[in-house]
Amino acid sequence: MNKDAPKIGKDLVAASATALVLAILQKGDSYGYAIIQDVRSLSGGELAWSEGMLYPVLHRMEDQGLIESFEERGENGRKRKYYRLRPDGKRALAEERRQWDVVHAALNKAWRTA
Amino acid sequence: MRTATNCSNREVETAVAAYRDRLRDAGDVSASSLDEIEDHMREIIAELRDSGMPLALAIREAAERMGDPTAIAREHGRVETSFGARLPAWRAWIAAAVIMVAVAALLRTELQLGGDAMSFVKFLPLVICVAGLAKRATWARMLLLAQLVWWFTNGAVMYALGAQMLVSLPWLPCAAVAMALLLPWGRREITLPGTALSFAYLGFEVMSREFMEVDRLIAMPHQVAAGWFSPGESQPTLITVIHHAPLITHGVLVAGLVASIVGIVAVVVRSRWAAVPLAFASATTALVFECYLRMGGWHFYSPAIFGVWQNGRIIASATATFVAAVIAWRTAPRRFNSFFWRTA
Repeated sequence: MNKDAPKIGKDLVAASATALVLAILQKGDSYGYAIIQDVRSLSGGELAWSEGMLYPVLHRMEDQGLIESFEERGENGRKRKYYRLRPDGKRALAEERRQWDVVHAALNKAWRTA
Repeated sequence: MRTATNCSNREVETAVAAYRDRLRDAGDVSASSLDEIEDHMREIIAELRDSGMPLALAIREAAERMGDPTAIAREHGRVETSFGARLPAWRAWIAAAVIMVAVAALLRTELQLGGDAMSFVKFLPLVICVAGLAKRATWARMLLLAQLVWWFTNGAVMYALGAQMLVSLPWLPCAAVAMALLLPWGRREITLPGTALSFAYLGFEVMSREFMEVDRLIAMPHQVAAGWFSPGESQPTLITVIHHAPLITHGVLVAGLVASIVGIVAVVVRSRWAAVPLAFASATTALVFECYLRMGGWHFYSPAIFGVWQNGRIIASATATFVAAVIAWRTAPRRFNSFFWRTA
């Protein structure tokens, strides 16, 4: 873990959180710790969340009807809360993707012409 | 192979419990969220231990990766509500509309029976709660639920006992529908603090009704009032006692009611000290019951079943308030938190 390397800024982490969670859940139902692991591996360790902050994000998305939770017994015998995408979440993901593509394309162009 | 047993030693338990306590004390994080976060922390510790990190270091690193409990609790407070899940908009709005219809029916009956300005004042808290419900505030849901449960039960009993003139019929089914919409449909819809709020309000609702009853009896000419009861031979009647000691009866009730209101407000702002005024309110309610019992209990009422109901609901009120006090003490965060910045 390269703790001293500069990480992605807090604002950018917060802005991309919903899109990332939606994208990860589209691949299959998951739970908090596994979602964090996915974020970590997808970003090559650059996106380091304060891991406890994931839960308010998940619960807000649940409140908005983007995802829903259900309980299942994990491998260690403890009950674990899983999250799955709802139809509204799929729509939100498409929209997030469109917006991030726009931002990405705009930045690409700007940097090429700079 | 990472298993829970690998990290189930005492140090891990202590560290995880300490982190959990810090989170809980920093604000309102529901028990299910605390469980979730606790599990997460265990997984991190297990992961770090598997990679060969010494235990003490793994514990410190895990707490660091989880983040500052105060900040996490604050974020939770913005999303979660202390009193339970927010109702889906359609349920909240239909319930609000139905309650307004019920209130209109109730007000009509009240005015027909010679109601005055007090009739309108009485409905003011209800209207405020309905406005809160329309905004999907969870405290409003719990307060309304308590009122509806009480009104519905009391109305249904009165209707069944033949006092139909006290109940306007379209109101009963309206209250039933609204109650069905506000009651929890799932296990996780209502939290313990939410239950405390409902119970505290239920106690208050019953007692305020009792207060109005006593108030009315005091205002009533002695002879007229005495005619309402069939007093026992040698015992003082309820009416004689109330008329001879209005200050005591009144005083106890007023003190109880004020304590009850203070307690409810304290439950809403999630102060654990809500338990003190609520316990006091419960004690005064029990005292009133004791007074009634000494005066002859339900034998003063005709038919006696009215007396059973009258006394039964006072016991229910005292019990509900006491349960609310216990839950408030056990579940409120240790540190006082502002309620108002939180989305309720």
